[in-house]
Amino acid sequence: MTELSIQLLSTVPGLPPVLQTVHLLGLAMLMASAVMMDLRLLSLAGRGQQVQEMLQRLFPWVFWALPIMLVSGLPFLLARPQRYLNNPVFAYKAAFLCLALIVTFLLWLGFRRGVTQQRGWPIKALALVSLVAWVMTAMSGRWIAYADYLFWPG
Amino acid sequence: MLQHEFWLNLEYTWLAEQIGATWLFPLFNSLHVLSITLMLGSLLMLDLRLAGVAANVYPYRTLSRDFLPWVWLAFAIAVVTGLGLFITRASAHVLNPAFQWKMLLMLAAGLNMLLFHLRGKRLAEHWDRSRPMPWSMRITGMASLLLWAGVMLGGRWMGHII
Repeated sequence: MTELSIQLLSTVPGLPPVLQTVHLLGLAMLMASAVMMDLRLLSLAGRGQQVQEMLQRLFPWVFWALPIMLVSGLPFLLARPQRYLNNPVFAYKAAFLCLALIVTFLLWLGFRRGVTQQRGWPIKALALVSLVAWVMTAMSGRWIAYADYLFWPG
Repeated sequence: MLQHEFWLNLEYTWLAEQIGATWLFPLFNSLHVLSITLMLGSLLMLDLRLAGVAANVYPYRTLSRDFLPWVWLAFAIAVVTGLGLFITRASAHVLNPAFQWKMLLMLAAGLNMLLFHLRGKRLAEHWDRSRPMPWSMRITGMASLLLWAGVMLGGRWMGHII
């Protein structure tokens, strides 16, 4: 897989920026949907729309974006595993991503059981954690390239 | 004009040197990416409504009242952080074909938005409730999506050319 990824990324013209743009477009789908749902649950945005209906509409976008993110991101990891696995910022990204996925799944369970309708404090707390976790996942993703600014290479 | 020393002088301003030499650069870069994804994602919801693909239960104006302020807020952050990044390497960026494409496509997206507003004024008052949407509105929604995706591609490609 490593050889194949290196081969593809280095020989297909324009593949790295195109794949990265697909990754970013997937991120736009995911971030805006997740953030809008979180802001709606926190009563900060989208008050013209019903909570349950909005969640029903936006959850599929989050779930569809995930495989897009995986497929467009994985070749970079496979091609240069040591660049990522030895990078502390990548570890942060992975940790925030896991947190975001877990919290999103819990919110989805809440949505399926109709608990999100009342928006009690546990749901609002989950929405806030989800918002922070997704933003930090995206931020740390960009900072992978800038790990030297945070962790001085010794 | 693109060879003018004005662009080089930008790189030697106090602000550009501060950004370029410190962690401000990665901070601006990550905020730029973050705001762009939020802007494009919110715009995606509006454009898909225009195209008649999603959220058809709501009139367009209900959605634009909810989402448009976020689009503009995110756009403003993207412009400020983008200018901050730009001045650190202005003379190279203006000659970068990916950057030139990005600016042209962004201009086209702006013109598309202008056409959308002009067209919206000429249609019947409740056009935003109509199902299906008028063809002119569907086209402008799809055009907006494609143009902004192109802006994103140009922006990402810039880093591969320098």
